[in-house]
Amino acid sequence: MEPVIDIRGLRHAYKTHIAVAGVTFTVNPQSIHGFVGPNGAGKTTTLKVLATLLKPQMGSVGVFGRDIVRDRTEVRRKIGYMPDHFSMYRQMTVFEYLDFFGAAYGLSQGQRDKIIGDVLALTDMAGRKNDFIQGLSRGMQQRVSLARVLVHDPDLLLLDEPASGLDPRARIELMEILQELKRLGKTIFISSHILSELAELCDSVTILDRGAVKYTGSMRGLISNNGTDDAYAFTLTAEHPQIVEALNSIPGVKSVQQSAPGEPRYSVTFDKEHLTPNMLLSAALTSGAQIVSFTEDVKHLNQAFMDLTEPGVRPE
Amino acid sequence: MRALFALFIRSLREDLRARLPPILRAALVLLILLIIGANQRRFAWSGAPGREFLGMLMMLNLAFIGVAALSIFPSAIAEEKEDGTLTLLRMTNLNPLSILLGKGATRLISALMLLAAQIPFTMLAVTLGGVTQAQILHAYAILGATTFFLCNLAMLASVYCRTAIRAGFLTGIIGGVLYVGLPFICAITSFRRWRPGSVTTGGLWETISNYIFEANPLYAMGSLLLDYRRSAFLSKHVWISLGAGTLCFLLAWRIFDRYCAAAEEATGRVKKTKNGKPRRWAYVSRPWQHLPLAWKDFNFMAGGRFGFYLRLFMAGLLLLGAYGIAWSSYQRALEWAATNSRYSPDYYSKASIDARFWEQFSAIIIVLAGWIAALELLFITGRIFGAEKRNLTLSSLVALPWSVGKIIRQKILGCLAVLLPWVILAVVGLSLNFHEICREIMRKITNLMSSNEWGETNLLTAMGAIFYSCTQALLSLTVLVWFSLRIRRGALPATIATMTVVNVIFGITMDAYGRHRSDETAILLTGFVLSLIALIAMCRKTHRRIQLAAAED
Repeated sequence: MEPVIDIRGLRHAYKTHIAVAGVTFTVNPQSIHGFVGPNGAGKTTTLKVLATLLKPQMGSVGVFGRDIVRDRTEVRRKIGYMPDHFSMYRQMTVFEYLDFFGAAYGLSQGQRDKIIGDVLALTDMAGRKNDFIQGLSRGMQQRVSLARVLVHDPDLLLLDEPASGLDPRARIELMEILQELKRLGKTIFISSHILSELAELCDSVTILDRGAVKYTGSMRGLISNNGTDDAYAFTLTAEHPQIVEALNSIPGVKSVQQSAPGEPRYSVTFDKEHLTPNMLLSAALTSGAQIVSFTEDVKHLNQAFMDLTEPGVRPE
Repeated sequence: MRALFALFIRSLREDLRARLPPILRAALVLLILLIIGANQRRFAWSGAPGREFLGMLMMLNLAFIGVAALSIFPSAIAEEKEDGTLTLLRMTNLNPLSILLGKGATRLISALMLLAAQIPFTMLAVTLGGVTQAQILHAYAILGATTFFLCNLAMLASVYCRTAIRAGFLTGIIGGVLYVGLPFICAITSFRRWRPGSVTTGGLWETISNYIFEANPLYAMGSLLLDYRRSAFLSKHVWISLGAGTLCFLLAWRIFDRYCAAAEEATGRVKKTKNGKPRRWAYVSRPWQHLPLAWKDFNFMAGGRFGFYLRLFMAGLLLLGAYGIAWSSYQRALEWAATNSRYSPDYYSKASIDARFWEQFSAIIIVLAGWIAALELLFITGRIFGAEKRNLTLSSLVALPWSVGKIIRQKILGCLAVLLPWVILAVVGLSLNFHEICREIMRKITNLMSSNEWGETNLLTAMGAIFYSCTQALLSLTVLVWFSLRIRRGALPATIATMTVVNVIFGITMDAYGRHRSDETAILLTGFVLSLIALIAMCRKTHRRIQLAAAED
């Protein structure tokens, strides 16, 4: 399966400041790929290179097997880029805005009418199509931005921190729209500086820090420490010290930790090649523990991010 | 008291720390020295070289003040409204007075500093002769007072309007009425009064007319340069301007709360019709299939159909105004002919007066249409990419599957529509005196084709002049686009300043080359080649700048 995005040794500097230093990763088709890193990691620069707004100074960048410098026009037809700010003509109505971009991509009036209706329905903005953009809330403007990106039916969406500044409800709704787009066969490349935000959404992830790739691969692989370990958490009705002994006695369990003294929550790290979550659950039940929940340890995700990235501000 | 001056002091501190203001002041001083150097030969022919130099410098300064009044001063409060930061300022201890002082007075002080920095160098004009030290100081007092008035007028407009563009437009209209419209009406009515047999002097209108003329900086400057004995530092013009400026400031303070409330900021205020459609001044069509960007700029930058019809209406009014002026002149000529035709019967014949009427009518229309079209072109060029950069929409445009060249072409096409009414007006002007103009052009061409006493045809010289003017105009527009992508506000004054410096440098080079060759054609062709090289370099630079600005969004 040919990757949709194929970046090899990408390097880009602004005068003396190196924004991206030798980045290499690939993105599979019809997947949601998270691009995560702290502020100033080089995410936006990479996205701008992919959106053909910046030329790579070194390395090669391929989108759908085409070189972004040589086949720039073809690449632009296949991608939809949504920047990390509102890039809108505020004096237009929602319909005029989408109609303008549809015409700019060469769609006929009939095609535009149909596709604008579809994208407005998808983004739940059909009822506001005659509203001026300047009168819309931030969440609605974000939806209109997303609709604009979809108006020429691109196969790859490049979304730069689309959830920033949105309230929790708007974030959830945006993620639902992205899931729906994935089901429609789009490949989505989404950047964020919050890994947990993308945990449930993404199939794969690339973590960037200080211009270099720290991890690239599946989401599960990141959680399980490069594919060998996994972590789960038990929440019990009450404190139950016997569960620690029961779990530690199983070959393949690496550690069992109570989150805090007196708290009925225990985290288990184990070698997933030798053990399955079912075996842990069975052992816990055998020890007599009254289990309230048994889930994958999300804290582990944030910890993985913290372990991979360096603290402090990137030096110039 | 500390809160009152907090913003003002911060702005002054920023001005002191900034790199650009001292560079601008130094550039202006350098320009003064360059003007003296470049024109020393021409000044030598004049009986009063110092006065010539002072006159040129004052006109240049007035042009700068005029441009600043339209672009830099009106943004004082309106830019805060556009950015949505005025509410944040109002939430602090800052009251309207401190905001006006902080945002407006610092712009005024920066402009006055630019003038003050010139004074010691302008004093060199005394050594050239024909001008006194008192005249120079008085000239700067006139400039300072005019700056004070225009800055406060622009601030009043800035408080009233929601965007800096509208504030600039309002300032331009009021300034135009005060400095052009009213003196013009006064001049016409004065003529009506002064015609033979109906001379009346004094009265209220006479007093008002005098004040209107005295308030006009061009009139005040002209009077000063003509009368070397005039030494009153604080003339009537200075008092009128200071008074009017103070009045504008007080009015801005008075209406601040009413027009700068949070709800009045640039966002919101969307009106709809009963069936839910947005309420607009004129119908906006669907995007043009092959020219969507031209459609966008025509409708949302150049004013759309409403703007087009409004300009057509204005052109009609100008046509009527021009007819009025020509008719007034015609009547005067007829009256004059009735009593003086015996001295020159041919000149005062009915046919000759009729011909002169159409000639004058046509000339006024063509000149007016040309000036307005040039002004419109300058303003629209300053916005064509600058507005995209400010609205952060450039990246969306550049990411389209189009070349930058196609984007530029479509944007130009969309904005050219603003020129159409003025082109129509000019065509009407041409058609009114078509035969005479054609005959004059043919006569000029015949003259140009003939050889002069050195055996050279003048055609090459004329071609050189035309090419030089065209490349200069295109270069100015390209520099304006480049500046609009580089700086947030003040692209027009920066362009005028740059083009002035460039022209002085070109002038020195052309003069040096021409003096060596004693050949006017060579001088013009040197200018053309220099401008062409600069134009090509700027086009490449602007093309690259558009791409960079899109990536910087």
